[in-house]
Amino acid sequence: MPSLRPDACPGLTATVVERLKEANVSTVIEFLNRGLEELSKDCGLPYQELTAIRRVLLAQYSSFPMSGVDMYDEAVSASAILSTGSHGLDTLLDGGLYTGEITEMIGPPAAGKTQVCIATAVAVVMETDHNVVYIDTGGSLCPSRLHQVMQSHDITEEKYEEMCQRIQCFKIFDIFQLQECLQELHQKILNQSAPFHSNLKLIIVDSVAAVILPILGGAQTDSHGHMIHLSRILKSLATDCSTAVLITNNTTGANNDTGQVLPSLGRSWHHIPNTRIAISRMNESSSKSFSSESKSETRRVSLVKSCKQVIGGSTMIAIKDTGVT
Amino acid sequence: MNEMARKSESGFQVLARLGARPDISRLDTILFPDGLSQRQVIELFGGEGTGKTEMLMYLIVRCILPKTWNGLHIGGLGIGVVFLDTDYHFSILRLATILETHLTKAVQQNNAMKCENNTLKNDTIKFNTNQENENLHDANGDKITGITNQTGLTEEQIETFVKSCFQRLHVIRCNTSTQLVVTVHSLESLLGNHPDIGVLMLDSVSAFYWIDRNSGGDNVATQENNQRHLVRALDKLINEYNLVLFATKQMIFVKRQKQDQDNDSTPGGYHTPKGGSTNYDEIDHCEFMCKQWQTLVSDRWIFSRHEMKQVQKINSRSYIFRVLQTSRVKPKGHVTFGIDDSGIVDMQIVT
Repeated sequence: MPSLRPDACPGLTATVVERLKEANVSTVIEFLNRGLEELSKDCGLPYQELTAIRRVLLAQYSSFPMSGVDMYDEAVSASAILSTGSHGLDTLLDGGLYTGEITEMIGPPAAGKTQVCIATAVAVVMETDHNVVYIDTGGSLCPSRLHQVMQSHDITEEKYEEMCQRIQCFKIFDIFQLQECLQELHQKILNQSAPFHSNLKLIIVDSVAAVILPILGGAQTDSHGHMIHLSRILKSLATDCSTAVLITNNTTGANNDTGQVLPSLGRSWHHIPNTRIAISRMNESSSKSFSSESKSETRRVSLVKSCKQVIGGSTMIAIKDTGVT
Repeated sequence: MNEMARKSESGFQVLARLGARPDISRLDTILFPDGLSQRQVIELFGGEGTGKTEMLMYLIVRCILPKTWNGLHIGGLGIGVVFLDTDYHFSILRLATILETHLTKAVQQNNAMKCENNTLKNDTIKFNTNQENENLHDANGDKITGITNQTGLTEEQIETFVKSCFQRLHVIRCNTSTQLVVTVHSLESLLGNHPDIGVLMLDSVSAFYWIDRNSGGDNVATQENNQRHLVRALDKLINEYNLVLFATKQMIFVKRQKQDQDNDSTPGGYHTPKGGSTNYDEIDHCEFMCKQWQTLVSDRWIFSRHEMKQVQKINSRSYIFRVLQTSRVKPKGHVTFGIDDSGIVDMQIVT
């Protein structure tokens, strides 16, 4: 909670701060909560002066309202939909990954979450001039696989180098480093200092569970606080910087009766993403029509949460040497 | 407000504050069969993906749609809305789509009505030709000459319409709980300058719950500090400006019994609550906000999502959403609805 510091705004001199403190007002919110007349009486400061301070404090610490018209114009001009490289997946997501949104992909181990991440990153740099940041927290990003998927696009060696530079990879293993790294990205995008960051449109975190799960448990409020803090950073990256955020998460085999899989990390996290897709291997009964060879590479992806689409749809994707189709 | 404070207000602001805020009683006949009164605070509670934000979208659209447009009867209220977005789930493009659908429907209805009116006229029945009806006919007459698609509206016309609705909408994003409290304080000037604003929305009130808990130390009272400040600021605004507040609250906690009951229910089926609705509903809700918030809330809507049976499926929709409306403790009734690309559809009162 921001406290009232001298010189934070013109009228707020050291003596004024001292007087306010005597009247039990030491933070911005305490100041705003008090009626000005009452406050003026309590600390013997002129009413007009307090009004001026109040106005400055409000301007400094509040968020500004945006008219629906401006927001609409900005959304129309700044929004982009990034193709994942897989036609089926794009259709499921109503075109692809939307900037300004967090898309979460959940699935059990070896369901192909990382493969979809890699394919999406490659598709974005190949088909658009946008850049990608790929944050690997589980050590699951394999450079040779990235190379393999890129090669399938049939490009020259020079072009390959250029493409690789447009995917910036970070290996991060704990939540605090991740928070720091993302905040730094936020700053760099807003400053628009480097050409890489002004063109950054996709941020992938594979996976969030790998950094959050180790801190969960124990003192619950602490760990949940850190988790939600991370989600705030991701959310503001998506909306303020107009980037698409793709994260992956594990599943919990919570309900065996209904066969329903739930994302891990608990209820508080469930509310965070705008869109969630679940990826899973085909089970025996539904994959009979496929040959044994294709069974291993076919995955079912379904839309389980969306803020803009009818949920419940699903599609098949195949993971091949060339990427995801 | 006291004498001195009034001095700092402009005459216009005083008028805006003291003058009547727009009439919101007819916001929706299904959701508010008894009408909606000013200063009501409605909490929308539910797990993820149960349609809370979608319901807010629906209510925004009802508010910001005009009563009439170019002589067309649209049926909205033409009221301004302030949307405080803390969850960042608000999508203006989604809202634009819903507005467009409403316009299309209104045009089609008007056309149908016009045909009816014409036949009536042919039967030489004297029709009540008041000003509004006259306009309606003129507008439709103009449209018919320029019909290009089903509705006869050009893309520019639709865009102008959508933008004219968005003029009544004000969106504010907040990223920390302090920022939210200060922003609510700062709304005075926005509300003063826009006397047409009658509805305040907050999506969601629980967004900073864990962060507040975490930064408050071991003392529960300090953990709830920001919540209390928020409630105080909201309360002041609502009462001074006669607003209605809609706020979503996420289901962060769940009571044990509820989970057991879920396991019992038949998979895939649209299960009806067991053992009387009152019992079920009490179990569904789990309070975690501060006392002050609980007192502020006058109505609570509890959202849930149910899978539909194969035979019930309409238009590939596979879920049905249920809202239980309660006032403080007493259940008032159920409403069900579906969600498709055009927003909330098929809203019904369940008896």
